[in-house]
Amino acid sequence: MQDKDSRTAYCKVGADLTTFCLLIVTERITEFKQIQFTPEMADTGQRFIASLRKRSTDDQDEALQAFLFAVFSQKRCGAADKFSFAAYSFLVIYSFTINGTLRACGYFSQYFSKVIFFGRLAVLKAILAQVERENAGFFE
Amino acid sequence: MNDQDLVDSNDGSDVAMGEGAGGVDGLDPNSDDAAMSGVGNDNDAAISGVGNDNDAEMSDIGNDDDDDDDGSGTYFPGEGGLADDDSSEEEGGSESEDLQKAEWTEEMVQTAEMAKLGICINTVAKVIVCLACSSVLRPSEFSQHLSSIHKPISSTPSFFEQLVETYGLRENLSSRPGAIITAIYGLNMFPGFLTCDDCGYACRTVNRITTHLSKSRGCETFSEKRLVQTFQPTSDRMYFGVEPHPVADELNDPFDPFPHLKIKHAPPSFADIPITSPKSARDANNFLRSEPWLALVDGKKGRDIYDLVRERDPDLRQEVRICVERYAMTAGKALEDAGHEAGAAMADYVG
Repeated sequence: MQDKDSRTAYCKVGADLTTFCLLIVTERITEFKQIQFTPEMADTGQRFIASLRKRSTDDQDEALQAFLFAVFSQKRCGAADKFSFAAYSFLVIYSFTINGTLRACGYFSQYFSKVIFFGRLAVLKAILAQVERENAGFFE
Repeated sequence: MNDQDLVDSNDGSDVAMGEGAGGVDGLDPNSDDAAMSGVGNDNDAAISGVGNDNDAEMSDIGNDDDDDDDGSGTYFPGEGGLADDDSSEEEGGSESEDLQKAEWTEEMVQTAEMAKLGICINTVAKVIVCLACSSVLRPSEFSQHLSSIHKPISSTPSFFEQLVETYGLRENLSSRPGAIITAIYGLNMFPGFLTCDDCGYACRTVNRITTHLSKSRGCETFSEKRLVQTFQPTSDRMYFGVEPHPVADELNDPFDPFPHLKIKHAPPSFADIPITSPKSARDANNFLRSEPWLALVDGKKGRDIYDLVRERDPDLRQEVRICVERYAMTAGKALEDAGHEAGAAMADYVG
């Protein structure tokens, strides 16, 4: 993320993902009936939207972290439930062009890398926060 | 891009010459169907094929320099034509008026049989246009022209004799309309000429146009920027001024016929077609087939999907993006630091 171009590209996809999921949990996007969201996603999403109004960066960071964690821990991304998994559905939908054709596999892989980056970031940060909260070191 | 493959395969250019399918057999110019709905349509009529010019043609034009006429007279393409400028002025006067009364709008005809041969007929100018060559040829030459230049396309001389009889096509191409006309569809247009605003006479030098204006009745002014066409493709060319069709002006490129043909004949954009599951296994790769992706987007239009995931609520997206950028930076830094600490702890533990 030190490279500006990479940061821009990753954050663009991250912002699209977050916005899409926010609009799903607030039911402003209802066109994709398969996509389900958990109560946790709805709560954290509302909290994040509220934090945007507060203009407090700390609140926003925490709320975003909670929301992303909720999105990626929505459920296990198994074969049977793939398309109820919001992040995965976003990834698929995001890979379609304006013409309705699917982007080449290389594009899908790039989007996958960017989406999963935020998933890993959210999960790892949650683990780190829990470790700090419990004051438990990794290597005691 | 690969994702454009499907789009490209349905590009409107593929059907550029397919308009003939809309025509009908037979040569009856009075038939409703005989007036070709594609090439012969007024909307397309002004599209000329200058864009297809090759260098040889252009250099050839440059060498021609209108040596075939002295710039006098108002010429008229009456049957029997005129090669003699002096005689043309008197003869051409009344005929030219008749022709102008007939309205020099585009009256293009292309039957299905003509479409197969790549030709169309301007029923007012009474000429056959070879669309591939963007030029006019005498009816008597066309059979030979097709078999030699456009092989394996061919037709019999009797077919062209029938055309001559039906449409009264001219054999003499050394002539001019006698007015500024709307460009003849399919015929090359050339820039760089001086044209008489009244009779359409065109030449390359100021001396010639001045001579023409002084000798011709009713001719007073000339234009420097008007495009010209000629019936005669090789020697004895007589250029005349034309006005590109208004449709061509709207597209800002009167030389390129393809935008017009695309607009007219292109299938609807994929963006406006609901997504459906592929009918054939050849339309989707293994990855797509093994994944039920299409169930997610079935029936939705590409444009709608694009708007939903990329354009929906841009204000919210902008605010979110600021947060995401900050989050990515701080979280990344925190994890990096944690990684260092873990690495150091691991080193101590191992050590």
